[in-house]
Amino acid sequence: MIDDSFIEKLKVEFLESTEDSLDLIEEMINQSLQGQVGNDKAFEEIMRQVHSIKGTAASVGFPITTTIAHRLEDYLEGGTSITEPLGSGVGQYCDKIRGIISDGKEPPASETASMLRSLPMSHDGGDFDINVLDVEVLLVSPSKMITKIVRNELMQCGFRVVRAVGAMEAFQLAVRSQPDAMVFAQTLDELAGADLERAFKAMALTSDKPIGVLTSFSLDHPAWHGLPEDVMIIRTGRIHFPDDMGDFLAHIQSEFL
Amino acid sequence: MSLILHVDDDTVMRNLVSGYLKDLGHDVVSAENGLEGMKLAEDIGPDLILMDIDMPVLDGYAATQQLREKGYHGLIAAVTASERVKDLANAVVAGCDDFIPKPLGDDFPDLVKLILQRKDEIGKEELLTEDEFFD
Repeated sequence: MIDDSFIEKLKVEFLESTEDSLDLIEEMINQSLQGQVGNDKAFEEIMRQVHSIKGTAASVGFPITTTIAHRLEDYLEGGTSITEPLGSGVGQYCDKIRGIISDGKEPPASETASMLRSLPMSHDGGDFDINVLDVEVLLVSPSKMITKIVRNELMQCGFRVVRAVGAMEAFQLAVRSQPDAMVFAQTLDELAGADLERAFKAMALTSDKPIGVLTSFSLDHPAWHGLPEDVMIIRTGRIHFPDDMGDFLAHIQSEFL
Repeated sequence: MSLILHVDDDTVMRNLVSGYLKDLGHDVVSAENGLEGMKLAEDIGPDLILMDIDMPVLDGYAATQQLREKGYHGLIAAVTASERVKDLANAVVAGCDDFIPKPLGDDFPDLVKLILQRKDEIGKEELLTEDEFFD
């Protein structure tokens, strides 16, 4: 059994190495903005550092830092080039992680959701002047294409979007971020979207939140047997998606606006 | 007791994994990128390689593939924070036998034990080609 002093030593190492990673991320942004480093090279290095923090933090007792890094990855995936606004957004994430490093501990669970929501979200919602609302939607899909389309629809309405690629990640994010609404793809790696919905409807934290399921199945498919009545089915494809997505967006808006 | 090579560009992760594995009684050698890991694997012939995927110089996919092409038949487990089936499938196609998810949890020692139990079965199954895997 590994003793506590070993883990404590690793925590100190983690705090020091994360500080170095944050310095490198900010240096890459500055150098890229000044044209000293190519955009792609800077992006690759930043993603690697963020990915490394995400993978290591929870392993040594900093799970919220892993969640911040996860959201930073999500934020970066929404961008294609390093710009002043993106650099500023990344800086806000870095500041949060620096705060944890400085304290040597993470904020209490009661403060986690509000802290996470104060972070900027991916800005691939187009060039529209959008009034961003304090309404967060958890989008669970392994598909980048589906994510891009649905995230865009949600962001056009001013909703904040946090993405998970699978069920396990969705549970972690839901507990820490406490989303206001959720959209699940029916086809997930570990668990069908309909089963994920049943699970979220059974949890007190998420039981009263609007949920939509993205699917290519028809409305009479057996997968929907026993699904809670208030779960909305959003059919993909040109014929149904605009109406079904519109209905779901209207439902969220009626709940929160 | 087994000889385990751990390849990861993150110092804290290398120290953490090394601590866990030594605690289990294994001999551990670490490398900080795929290229270094490949060279070490050729030198020491480990029973198991724990291979991070996202690394500078040479990533885990390429290092695994090259090791298999050079005839390394020991166990290789990808250690990754990715949950995407596509990434895990790519690891298997490259030649990984299994994977361990990051962040590492309390079940890490048990996962290593389970993977090492397959040590005696090495060579009894052929590696899948990419076409066979996706068939």
